Amino acid sequence: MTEVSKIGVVVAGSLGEGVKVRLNGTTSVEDIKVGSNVVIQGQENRFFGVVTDIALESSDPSLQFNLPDVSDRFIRDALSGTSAYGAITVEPMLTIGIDQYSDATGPMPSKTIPTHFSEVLEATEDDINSVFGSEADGGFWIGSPLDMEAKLCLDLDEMVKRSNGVFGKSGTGKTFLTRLLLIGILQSGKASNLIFDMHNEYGWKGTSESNYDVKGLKQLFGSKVSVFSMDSESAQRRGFIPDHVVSFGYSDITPEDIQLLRETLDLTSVAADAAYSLEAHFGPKRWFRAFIGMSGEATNELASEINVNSSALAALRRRLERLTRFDFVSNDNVEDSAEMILQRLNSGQHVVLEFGKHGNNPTAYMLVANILTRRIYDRYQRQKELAMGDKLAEPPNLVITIEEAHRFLSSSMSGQTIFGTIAREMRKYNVTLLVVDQRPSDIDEEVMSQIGTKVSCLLDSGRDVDSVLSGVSGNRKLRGVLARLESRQQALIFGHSVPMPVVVRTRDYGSAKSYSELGDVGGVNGDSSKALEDLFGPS
Amino acid sequence: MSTPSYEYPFRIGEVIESDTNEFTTQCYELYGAPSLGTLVKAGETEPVYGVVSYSHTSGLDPTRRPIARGEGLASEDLVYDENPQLNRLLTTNFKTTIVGFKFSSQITTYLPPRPPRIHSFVSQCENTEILTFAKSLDFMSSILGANLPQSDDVAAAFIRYACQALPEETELRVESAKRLASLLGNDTRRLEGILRRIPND
Ligand SMILES: Nc1ncnc2c1ncn2[C@@H]1O[C@H](COP(=O)(O)OP(=O)(O)O)[C@@H](O)[C@H]1O
Ligand SMILES: [Mg+2]
Repeated sequence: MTEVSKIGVVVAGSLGEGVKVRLNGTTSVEDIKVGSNVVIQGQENRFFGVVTDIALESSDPSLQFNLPDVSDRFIRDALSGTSAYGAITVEPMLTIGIDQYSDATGPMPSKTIPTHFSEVLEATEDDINSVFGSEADGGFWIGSPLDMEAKLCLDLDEMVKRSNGVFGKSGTGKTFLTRLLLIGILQSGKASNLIFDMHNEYGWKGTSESNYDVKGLKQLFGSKVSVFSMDSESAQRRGFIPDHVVSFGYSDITPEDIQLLRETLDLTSVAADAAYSLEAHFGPKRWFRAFIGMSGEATNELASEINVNSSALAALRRRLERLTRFDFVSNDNVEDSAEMILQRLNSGQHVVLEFGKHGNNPTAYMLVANILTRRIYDRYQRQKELAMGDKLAEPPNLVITIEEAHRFLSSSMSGQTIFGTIAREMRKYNVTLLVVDQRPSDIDEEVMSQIGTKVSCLLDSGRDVDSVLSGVSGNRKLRGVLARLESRQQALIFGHSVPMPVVVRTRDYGSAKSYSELGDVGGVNGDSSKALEDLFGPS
Repeated sequence: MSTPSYEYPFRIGEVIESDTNEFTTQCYELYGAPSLGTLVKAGETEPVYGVVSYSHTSGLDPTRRPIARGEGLASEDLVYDENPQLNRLLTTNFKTTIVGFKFSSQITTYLPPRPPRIHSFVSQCENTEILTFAKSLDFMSSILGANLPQSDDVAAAFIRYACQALPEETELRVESAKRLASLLGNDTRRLEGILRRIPND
């Protein structure tokens, strides 16, 4: 336990605006950071709060006009902390009962504020644990509060009930954070993960900007993780053999996919909608193959037959030809990759789908993610309905991670894509999303409002901040906190998995120590006892 | 007046006037008043404490004014040497602002229920007593609030006196300054003036 240090007393305030705390003479404003946690010892309650503002005040209003001779150290010392003092505004977020009986109820949202002259203390590790839970209670250690060593934990049970989001501008640590969250979910066994790994950072290994490699999930958890690849050459270049190389047939492509690709394929809405007419004409699964093989003349005839503008149809055909050039899309009958992924997920494995070189091609990324997710979701839906409430027969919870989520969840898209559907429902069919995005303002508002826990690093623009914070109480104050995050490895977390918004310094990832703390089982080269345990459970 | 009392070296004089806020002491020795800001006590077992805030020397008989005597003398001291009667004709008195009292061997830093009796012996204080008042400074508000022309000097003088008497209390100067700053929270000008009178030495 750390030594408790007093920083000041409550001198004014309101529930709406937070309480004003006068700092004592020994605490400098420079020692306090916005977003840090404090405890206020009220008369009947202990309050757990966040510093939302820091100010310099003075009891003599004329001080700023008639400046005393502050070059004299003695005069400066006399004034500081007395006539000229520091003050902070604290938002009391939670009430922790003062006696041990109230431990049972846990922290409750504050419905009142501490009395005048209540003492304000720095939060200790024990305070953090009693508010956020500890690893011992099954929480997942995600990082530490500002200026503290304490382990701040997330409630994973709450987390996997809903879709969640990791936001932040490029280079702020989204991927590192997401990797940690995935590890947490993986270790807890509360859900299976399917990760659309656009930039090849999660599966085998990732890289750090300081140019060293960090372990991916496969290296840490070995047989628990399957890596599927869209690009086996890229995998080999990076020194490993994927568990499976993914491919699709023409029959896997649906008109819905074409809607999603409308922008990247530069299609008019008439042209994109024509895919539905084609499907109606040729039949599901067959339409793409039949259409793509048509000559120009035949296309024209077809246009009048199905009553679609002929130039739109011609444009559609030209653009769809691009899809046939992807090496993972073929005319032949291919292995059903979606089915293989499902099997792994059903057997409790976690699947990372690496895009290899295709990660740089939005069309490829969106097409594949959409096809697979739709297939998997259909299966989950059926399985869940068949189970008719029998928990054991239900499919295991699944968390689908998508980077650059706004591509799937923009307002124009989210009504039509499978991702929009999943995001809008709260684990109805045991599937939720973990969306990772640098431009949350491009994500549909309604989808954003459904996101259970938001983890936000520093953002680029005010619009992004607005979209992340919309609908959160205390919005205005959190804005200030969010805008002042460090540009890397710091995040504001709020929503269902934490009892109150909190700023964390994300746990370090990449050192040998971090791997062992994260339960590195030695991965594919792991020692045999661990591998046996993986197979047969702990002895 | 009489010669100083060698049996009781700490004794300065006797109370000759007394009210709730202050008492006046007549010194046994001409010009024997303690420095401005000094802590003194009046009374034997349960003394009343005061801080010297004013002193005054004049002829003992108010109807007779001193006359100039030094014309043709080489130094001031010769005036007194050649007129030994002056020591009986002149007298030094000083006033003290009452700042506390001792009751059942406890020092209390606010006004006593009643001021000292006339003829109470007035003497210097010990360091432990000075420390008690220097640490509390509760009385400062009444000194500053008295609005005498010399109030600010008395306040500064007490702190100088305490720092000198208690050199081992290294933080005393800054601590006292901070106490003054809280008392004068809305008057930084005045505070600065007082602090300037407390040089570091
Ligand atoms: N938790 C962390 N531990 C160690 N390094 C980190 C951590 N978070 C961020 N970093 C550093 O910051 C860089 C950017 O992080 P990254 O997750 O790739 O950002 P983003 O995905 O937001 O673009 C990483 O390459 C790494 O060097
Ligand atoms: Mg990234």
